[in-house]
Amino acid sequence: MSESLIAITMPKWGLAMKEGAILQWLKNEGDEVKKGETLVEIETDKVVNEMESPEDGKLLKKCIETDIRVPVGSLIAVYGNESISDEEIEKFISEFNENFVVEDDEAAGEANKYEKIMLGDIEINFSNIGEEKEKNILFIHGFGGDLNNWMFNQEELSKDYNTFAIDLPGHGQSSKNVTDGSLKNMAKIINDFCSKNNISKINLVGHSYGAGIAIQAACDFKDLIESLTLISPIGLGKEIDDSYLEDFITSESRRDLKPVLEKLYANSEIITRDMVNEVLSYKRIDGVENSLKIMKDQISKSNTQHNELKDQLNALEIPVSIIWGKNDNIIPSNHTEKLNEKISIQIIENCGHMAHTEYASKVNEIIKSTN
Amino acid sequence: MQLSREDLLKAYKGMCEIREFDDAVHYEFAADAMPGFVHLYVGEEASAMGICMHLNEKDTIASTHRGHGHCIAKGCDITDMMKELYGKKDGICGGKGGSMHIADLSKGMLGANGIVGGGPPIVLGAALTYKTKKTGNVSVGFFGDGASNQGSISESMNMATVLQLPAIFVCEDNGYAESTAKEYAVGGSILDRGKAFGLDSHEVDGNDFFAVHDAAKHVIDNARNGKGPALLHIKTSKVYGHFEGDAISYRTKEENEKIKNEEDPLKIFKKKVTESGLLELSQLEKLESDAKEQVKIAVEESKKADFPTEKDLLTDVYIKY
Amino acid sequence: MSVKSYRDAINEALLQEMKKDENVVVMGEDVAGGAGTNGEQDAWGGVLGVTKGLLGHYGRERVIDTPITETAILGMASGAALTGLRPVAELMFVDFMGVCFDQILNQTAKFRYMFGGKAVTPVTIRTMYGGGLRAASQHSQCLYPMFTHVPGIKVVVPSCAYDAKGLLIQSIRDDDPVIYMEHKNLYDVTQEVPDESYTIPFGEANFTREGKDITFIGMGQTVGICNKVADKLKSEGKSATVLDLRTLSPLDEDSVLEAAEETGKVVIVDESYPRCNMATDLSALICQESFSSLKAPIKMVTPPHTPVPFSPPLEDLYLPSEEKVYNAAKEIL
Repeated sequence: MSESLIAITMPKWGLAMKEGAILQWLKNEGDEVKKGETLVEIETDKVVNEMESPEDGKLLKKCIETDIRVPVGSLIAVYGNESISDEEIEKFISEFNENFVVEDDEAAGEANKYEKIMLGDIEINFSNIGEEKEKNILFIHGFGGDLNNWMFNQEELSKDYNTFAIDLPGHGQSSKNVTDGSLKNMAKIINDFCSKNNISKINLVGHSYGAGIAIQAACDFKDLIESLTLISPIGLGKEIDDSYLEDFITSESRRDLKPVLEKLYANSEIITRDMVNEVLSYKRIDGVENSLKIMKDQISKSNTQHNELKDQLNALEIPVSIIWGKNDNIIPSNHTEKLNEKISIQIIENCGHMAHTEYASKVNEIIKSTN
Repeated sequence: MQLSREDLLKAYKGMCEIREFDDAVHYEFAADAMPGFVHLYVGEEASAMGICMHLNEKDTIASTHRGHGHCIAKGCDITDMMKELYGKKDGICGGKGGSMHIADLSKGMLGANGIVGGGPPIVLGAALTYKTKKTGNVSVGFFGDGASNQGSISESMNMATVLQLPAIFVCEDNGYAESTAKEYAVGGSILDRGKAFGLDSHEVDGNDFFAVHDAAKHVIDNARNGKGPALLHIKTSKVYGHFEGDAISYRTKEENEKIKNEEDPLKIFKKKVTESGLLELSQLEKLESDAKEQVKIAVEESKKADFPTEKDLLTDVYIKY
Repeated sequence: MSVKSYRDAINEALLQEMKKDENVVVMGEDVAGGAGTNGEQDAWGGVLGVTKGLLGHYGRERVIDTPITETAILGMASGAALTGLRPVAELMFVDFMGVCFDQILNQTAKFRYMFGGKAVTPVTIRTMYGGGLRAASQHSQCLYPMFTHVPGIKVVVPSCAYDAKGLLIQSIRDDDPVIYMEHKNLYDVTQEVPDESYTIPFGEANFTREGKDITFIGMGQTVGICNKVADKLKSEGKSATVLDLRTLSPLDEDSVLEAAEETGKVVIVDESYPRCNMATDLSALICQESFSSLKAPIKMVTPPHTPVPFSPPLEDLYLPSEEKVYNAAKEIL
């Protein structure tokens, strides 16, 4: 097999993804493509998103038509240099396809599916990928989210790290009991989670409310936390769009919830009916609405945040990166002002509250550089 | 059983109100002042009062298309009922039910019923609630000799026995199912049907308030105490026809006269209590004129009351839709 | 979250709601089984085992085996609902509605209206429907249009295990009377279903596929057929939207129109008799409200206007199938 040929395959975005289809090619055969440039638009059961080129190279051949569903890992394109003959490309493709085995759900799929752990009377659902790696990363989602929010990050970073993503209490498939929902108590859950998994050092990646929890954990458990990557964190300023939190809690139908979720993104077209349905099925579980109200009360009232974490964050002696979408509708990106100059700040253009979804590769690079 | 003077007055008051109410409806309907069609209870008053006097507000009844008497006996407001008959917005059912569907759940009145044999299956449910929650309440289902032939009645009596429910079935047998005689339409005996399903079954003279009252006390007390369901076969007669406008040509003149003169439960009651010196005639006459006045006011108010409007057209179908 | 069958999802919903609310009672023919016998109690747990095990938890006071007497069952359930219980009555086969329809048509559905908005009747009537089990004309009908026709009752037709649980819990908690219809062929269909209690609101149809070339509208059992045909078309390069109505009353008219307008080509798959059924009703709705967005005639895949046949080859010909739906789609694609 020619070493100068590179196989570009259908990515796996989240544990649940089994298939994807190309909606649109954003590059043509013959184009030089830089790593990080958008290559194709891919549709899964859950989401439509752009896939960025994983490598530099010349797009020699598109291997599948648009709108055809193929399993994760299938060959979608071949990169290489111009000197390679068509025969060689064809041979490369046929060899790839001969050796390609669709991941068996029952075996591989189930093996790295969700795990559960009891912390006192609270059951925590989590996923752990990359166990053999040395450095640990823990992803903490935001208010109303779950570990699947990291579908574009965890799998990718598991190539270099032992990655954990948890469902916070009151979220996903964890217990719906959130006690008082305070950052202190949630930070303690993070510490307990690490102890129970025998983790002595960990890098935290937190989003929004989860980023607030990460800051709190770094302050309360200094020996445990090695670094922080914070995406649109709470606690660094007063302003917050309360109506987002309130509407998130009270919206009962797909029609009501969709515009609420659209606030999260700069490009709201990313919201599919399936995404809305997933959030709705979570919200419809007994006890969730009440938990969300409790947590919301810990976050803000009348468009004013309760938690002030800036001083504590400035006092930390570990590496800290902050990532913020310039178009964040929920918490404004100017909260990055007056931070300790050791803290790395990245404001991303055309990006909303969900930088880790909208600009996944960029966020992944920043996470790597922080650790 | 000896009734107190208070109870006797209450019984006669109730029977007078029923009588005056339905007599007024008879008159108003003939004058074309009332929509729809109505079925009058005149002549059967002793049944409703004799039974309902044993019931408290938490006990329930389900009634028939001939239901005004049961409603009044169970405590429904006379003016609200009359407004309902006129189809007015302030009627007891907001003008959505009319004569055949008067209900007041707060009074334990689970509804008159336009379907012959419609009430007893509902009564099963109320009785199941009382049995499940151990409340000591009872539920009474009225039906007629015509309904006695419906499967719903047989099914209900059987189920009540199987589950030993505190349910009382009251067959008000006025001899006619619409224009058809009981002698023609009922095979065998209504009383035996109750017995066959294992119910404590009694035949009662429905023109005699005291007979109904005694029999009802026996079966209702038993049901409250977990001794299961019962059937009262109450033989009574109705003065008017099946519905208003019925010329009653299927009954003979003599029969009609006999019903009015010899089988009138109010007259029989009055004779008994005055002859035995339990009540003074003047007391009874006062109740009669009070009832007449009360119904007169109810009619006047009902005529003046407003009809529902277009904004009421779509309401009350679902709680949330 | 774990994989559960449609049957188990229903059973779990009943167990959880009986635990949550002691006013919830289950009643019907053989819902436990073995009543009055010297043999095994809970012998059946419903004719197809859907209510199995409830008896052990809640006893005969709350799991009530009744005689075979459908009028009395439904009447009793409604009367109990009217007076403070929250009953779940089982009508073994929807076909038996023939002997007790009055209890729904004239009683339960109308209480609230006739009584001027004062009645609250939180009764759920569970019943089994649909063909495919070689059960012939009196045990295979798909009668949901009859109930949908009647104001005052809600009609629920879950298509999968997840919906079965959430919609049943909603039915039980709902204060209006609900007829909850279980397709016999779906009992062994499995899916990931949360272990916790959850609800799915009525009147919100569910998009199970999204596409741009054609729209399938299904309900109950036919949703699975639509999904399979949509997947087949996908492999041929055509993308289809599939809408699962979930509840027929209330009907999510907005989603029906949204689904129709999305592609302009509509195939409605309905297992009920073809005259005055859901397919005709939806077609009329779409024609009236979204006529200009249609690019082809609306296709209705339904059985013919005959009773459900017994003989297997005949029943197979009778029922809507993947092949019929696929062919209908190809005619307008």
